[in-house]
Amino acid sequence: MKMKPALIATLVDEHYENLYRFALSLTRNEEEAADLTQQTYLYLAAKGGQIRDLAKAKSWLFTTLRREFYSMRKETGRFTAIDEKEHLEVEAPDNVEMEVLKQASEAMIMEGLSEIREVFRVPLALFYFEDFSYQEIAAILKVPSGTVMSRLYRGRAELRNWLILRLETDTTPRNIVPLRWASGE
Amino acid sequence: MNIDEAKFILSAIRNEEENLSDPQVFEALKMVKNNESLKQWWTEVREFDTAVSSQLKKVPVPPGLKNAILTGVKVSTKPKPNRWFMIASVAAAACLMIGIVAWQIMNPFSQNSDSIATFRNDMIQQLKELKTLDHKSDDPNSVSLFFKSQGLEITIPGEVDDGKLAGCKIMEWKGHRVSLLCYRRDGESKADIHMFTVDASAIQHWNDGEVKRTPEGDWKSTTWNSGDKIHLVVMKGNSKKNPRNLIPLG
Repeated sequence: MKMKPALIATLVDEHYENLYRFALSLTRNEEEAADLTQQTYLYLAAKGGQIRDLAKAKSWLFTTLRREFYSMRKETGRFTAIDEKEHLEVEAPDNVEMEVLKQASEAMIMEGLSEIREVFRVPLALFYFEDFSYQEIAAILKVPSGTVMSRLYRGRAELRNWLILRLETDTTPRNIVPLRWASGE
Repeated sequence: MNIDEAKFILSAIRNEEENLSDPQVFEALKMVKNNESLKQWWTEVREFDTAVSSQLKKVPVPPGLKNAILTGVKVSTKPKPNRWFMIASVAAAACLMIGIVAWQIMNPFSQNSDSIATFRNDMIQQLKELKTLDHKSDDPNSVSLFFKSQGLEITIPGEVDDGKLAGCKIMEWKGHRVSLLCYRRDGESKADIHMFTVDASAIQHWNDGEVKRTPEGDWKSTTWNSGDKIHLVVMKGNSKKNPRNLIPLG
C-alpha cells in the first residue's frame, strides 16, 4: 500500500539527515549509508500506507533501515553475529570528563561511535541521533527495556573511554600534509 | 534500589519528566532528589549526552542525498512503461553508447581533458564567480569526512603558511570532479589561498613530477602532482607573498 508523495516529502525533510547518520554509524561507509537511506525511503513509498499512526513513522524508518542493514550484511557475507555475553565487563562512567569532549570534533565523535561494538553502537546511535527514549529503542530493536538500559550504560562508557584514549594518543588529524613557503622569496 | 542500580536506570533517560510511569525510573529519580553525588553524576552524564548528540548532528550529509531520495521515490511510484517502449529505449541507449565510445576512441583528448593552462584559467574564472562553499569548516577532519561522503579522497593540508582552512567545494570540469579547498589569511595585503585538486587524467600532456609556476599576472599559481592527482594553488596577486614557491613538504 503506497504512501502519498507529499507525506513522504515531509518525512524525508524531517528525518533523512539523522537517518543517514544512523546508517553511517552502522556501515562506516558513506556510499552504503546513502544507499541504505534511499532504500529505506523507497520501502516507505511502497509500503508506508500500512503505517496507521503517523507518529510511528519515525520508528518505522529507523527499524526498517536497521533491518535492511542486517539483510545487506547477510547477503554480502559481512555480517557478524552479536554475542552480547562476551562483552559484559565495561568500566562505568563515574566522572564524565567534559573537558575531553570540548576538544572532540563531530568527526572524532562519529569515528568513536563507529568504533564501539555494534551491540552498543546501535542503541546509542538511536539515542543520540533522533532522541529516541529507551522504550522506543527497545521497540525498534525488539529487546526488553532493561537490555536497552544496559547497552546505553555500557555503550556510553565505551564511547567516553575511546574519546579519552584518542585525544591522549593522537591529536593530529589524518590525511594531512603540511604546506609551507619554500625559501626563495 | 542502590546507587549503582539508580545510575544504570538514570543513564537511559534524559530528564525528570521522562518515563515517570515506569516505577523503576520513578524510584531512581526519587533517589536523585535526596542524594547530591548522584545528582551531580547524572548532571554530568546529561552534559556528556547533550554535547555528543549536538556534535553528532553536525556530521555532514551528502548534499545531493535529499534530491536523490525524492527522485528515487518519484521514479519508483510512477507507472511502469510498456514493454515495447522499454525495448526501444534500451536499443536507442545502446546505439548512443556505441556512438560515444567510437567517437572517444577517435578523439582521445576531446572533451574529457584539456591543458593545464585551460584548467588554471577555468578555475580562476570559477573563483571569480564563487559565492558559497559547499562545506564551511576549519577542521580538516570535518572537511575530509565531507569529501569522503562525496566519494572523494583528498589530501588536506591543515594550514597553508598562515592561511587557516575555511571550507571546501566540489566542482565539475570536463566531466571530472574538482575539489577546492579555501584558506583564509588575515591581515593587510594577504590574499586568500585556493587549492584545486583534479585527477591527472583530466590534464593533457602532464609530466609526472613536473612543477609549473605562474608568478606573473593578477592571479599567481603553482601546479604540481602527487600520484594521480594534480594540485593547483592559486592566490590573487598584489600581495607580499605569492604561491609560486608553495609546494608540499610532506
